[in-house]
Amino acid sequence: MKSFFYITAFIFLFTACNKSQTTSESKEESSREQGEAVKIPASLDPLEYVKWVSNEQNGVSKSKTIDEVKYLLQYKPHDYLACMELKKDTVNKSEVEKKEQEFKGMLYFDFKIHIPNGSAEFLKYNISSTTEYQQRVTYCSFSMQYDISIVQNKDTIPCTMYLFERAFDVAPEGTFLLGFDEAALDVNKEMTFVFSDRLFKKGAIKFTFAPKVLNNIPKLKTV
Amino acid sequence: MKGKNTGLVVALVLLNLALGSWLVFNKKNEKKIGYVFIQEVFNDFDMKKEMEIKFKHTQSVRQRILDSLGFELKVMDKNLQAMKNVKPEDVHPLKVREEEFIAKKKQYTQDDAVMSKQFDKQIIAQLNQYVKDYGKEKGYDYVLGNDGNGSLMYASEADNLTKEVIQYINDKYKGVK
Repeated sequence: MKSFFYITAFIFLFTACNKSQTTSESKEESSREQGEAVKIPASLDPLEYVKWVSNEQNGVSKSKTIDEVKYLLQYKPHDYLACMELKKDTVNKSEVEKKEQEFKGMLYFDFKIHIPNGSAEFLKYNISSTTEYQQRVTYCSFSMQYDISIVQNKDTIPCTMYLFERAFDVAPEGTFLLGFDEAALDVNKEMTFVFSDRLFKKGAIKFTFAPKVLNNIPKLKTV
Repeated sequence: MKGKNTGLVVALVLLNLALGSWLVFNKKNEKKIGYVFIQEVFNDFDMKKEMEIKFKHTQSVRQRILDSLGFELKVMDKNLQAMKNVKPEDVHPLKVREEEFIAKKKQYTQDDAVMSKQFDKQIIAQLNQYVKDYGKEKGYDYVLGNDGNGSLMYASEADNLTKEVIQYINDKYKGVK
């Protein structure tokens, strides 16, 4: 009879261990979601740096999907832009500094509108006429800039640099290269990017960057 | 006697194992269900609050235009009444203004209706998306909506996700998450 109790106790213990393991796993997952457990490296090689900035888990790049439309926003630090232009595995300090001088005065972002299940140009998504298509092309080329801003405290900072990159039918997405006056913004304070979507009429599309995110970007390793 | 005991132990162990497996299997197949009060979620959604302010602002601007047109009409009418010999050409500007007032009022009423419909559509699209995201992220099989019309007659308070969902959708809208 004694052995029965031992076996029963073992089975219960085994089940309890299994349960607590599941709980700790989910806790770890939720803390990762909240960005608590993310370790930020001090400095990174150009390739690693670009990869880090583009990784959504690090909070510098963000996205959201409304219905079938995906909006992606990526903050591009000056070091990131230097890496993209220099296209090297290793970079030296002077060439990075030279590049940074060119980018000075502005905060840069890439804003993308993507149709995940689309097969044609994103501007043709749910289109009803050729007139509507033309209106969309005109809107993206000229007017959309005025529907984009950054809100910080109670100030609205307009988008001062705007470039629309069309992918035509190659990919169901459009990229917008954006620039905001650096002097008007403070990276030590929360900033909210706002796009009032008049293209697909999805309302205000917002992305908020906490100061800890933009202040904790790793440094670019130079030789 | 010993053999009898061993048989009993084996039988009980097997029973225990079967019970354990059934519990684990049952836990896995259990559907995770929660519910929200739709009206509360809708009213506390920041996007709805922002759109409401925008709508009211547009409506008040339109009303101000109509009010000043109406006042202008009153002044013109009073001037006409004060005149002794009213000729048809004196009445003509008032009639033109009156028609303009009626047309504008009609146009604004229609525009308000279109705008309200469009705003509601945008709010609902984002709200639905964020609730869907919440369900997926938290592993829910169902997030039911209680709108007080009897579609959900009873649910335990423990499964009420309203406050949590409101916080989540507002964070999502702001783009914090």
